[in-house]
Amino acid sequence: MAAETGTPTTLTLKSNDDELFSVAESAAILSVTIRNMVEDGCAGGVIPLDNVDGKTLASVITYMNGISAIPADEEKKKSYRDKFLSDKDFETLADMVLAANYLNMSCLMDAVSAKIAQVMEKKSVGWVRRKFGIENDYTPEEEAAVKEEHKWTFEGVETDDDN
Amino acid sequence: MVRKLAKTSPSNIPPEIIEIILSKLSSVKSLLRFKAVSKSWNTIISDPLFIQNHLQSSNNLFLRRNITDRGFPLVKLEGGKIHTEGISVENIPNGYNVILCDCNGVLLLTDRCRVNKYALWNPSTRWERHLKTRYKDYVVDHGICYDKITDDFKVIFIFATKYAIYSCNNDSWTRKKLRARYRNTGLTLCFDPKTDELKVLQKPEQLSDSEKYVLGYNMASLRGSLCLYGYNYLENSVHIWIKEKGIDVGNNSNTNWKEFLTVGNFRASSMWFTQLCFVENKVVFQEKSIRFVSSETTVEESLWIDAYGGRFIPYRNSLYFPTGVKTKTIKAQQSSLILTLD
Repeated sequence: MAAETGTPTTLTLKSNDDELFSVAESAAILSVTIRNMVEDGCAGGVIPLDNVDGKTLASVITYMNGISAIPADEEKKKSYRDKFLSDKDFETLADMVLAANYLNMSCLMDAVSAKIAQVMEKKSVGWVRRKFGIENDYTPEEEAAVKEEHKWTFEGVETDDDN
Repeated sequence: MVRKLAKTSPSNIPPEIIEIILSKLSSVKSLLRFKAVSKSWNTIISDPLFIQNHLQSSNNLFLRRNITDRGFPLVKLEGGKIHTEGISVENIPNGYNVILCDCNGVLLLTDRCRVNKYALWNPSTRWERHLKTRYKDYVVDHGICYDKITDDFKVIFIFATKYAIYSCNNDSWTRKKLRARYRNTGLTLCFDPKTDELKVLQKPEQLSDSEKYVLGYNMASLRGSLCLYGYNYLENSVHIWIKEKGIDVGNNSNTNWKEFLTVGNFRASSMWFTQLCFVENKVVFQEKSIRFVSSETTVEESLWIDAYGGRFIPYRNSLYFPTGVKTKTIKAQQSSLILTLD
């Protein structure tokens, strides 16, 4: 964590399961939520992040450090984001999208939601319901009618035991 | 059952984030399939604003207007190269072989061997509708437009003395008399979907200099705005004017055209009859070659497409069409769509 300016400021973030993390202020302020706290002068002690667990926060901080170490080069930032997200499973991505939303980090939010969309691309309706925890509120007749209307879109979908 | 109590259960992703995720999904096939996930997902994906935003993503794909034995050739322009793909023939409405025009990814098709056979087709949703007309007059011009307010596609045919409008929502034809002063005048008319009336479109005054703009001008839709463009023979340049959004196209004033772009040092062949469209932040000209022009004034890339000849129209992943919900029964009724203008 090399500091660009003379005196590097370090912030302490606390996850909702009471894990503490140190992060350079210059990286942490990628989060508008944290930046506002810093600007309002309430980032002196420990910053509690009630909606993010330790595992997810560790991941987000890795991203903050990684992306802020890259100079203003959108291509390089994009390839860093792609690489960062490439090995994440759906559950991790889902946690990260919620964290990015809560922390108000638009670049991470965009990248993670695009990654989730990419993962969903060939998935079945059953997979989506299960992963997103969506309750099927169609009657069997309604569901059959909706499926019938776009029958061809169910061809070539990844097999899923729930569908 | 699902482990609802698990800490990492993503079931708490709120609808507004689901909407953001779905907005990143460009595949029309996946989006249509996910309408079956739940009623609220269906509502998100069917929302006209969602559909409109989804269309914004440009994919650099072009369709040739004329069919070949492999269907309508699809080409992708990327990195200065043309990649050819083929839209498979079975998805093309049976018996149609020419694309006349497009609007929001919806194409108007005809059969070059038969008069008055027309269909609307969205290759992304694979939805088609046949528009049978009994009308045998020569079609002077035609067009499709989308009315945001009523979420309706309308097809317009202009004949020598009258014009006819087909509304998808109402599944019906309306015919109107063409005002005598519009006939054989060389005026440019525009169609107002709210009133179904035609209005005279005033062009930028520079274009009236017929020494410079020998072959007149053409029209296109750039990023949802109407534009006019002409080739200046004296200066070898292309001039593009644009109507900014919200400006009434039927207004009598010709001052509300904005100079959008001038491309210098652009030698056009004698056949200056080309389509203009946007690919990302570049304007694309087509004549013998497809040319990319950035918002600067130089031609950046020239791509020769002699292998195909013919003209191309942009192909867009589009959720538009069918509109509304009442289109389901249309297929059974298609034989009753008859245009009676006499």
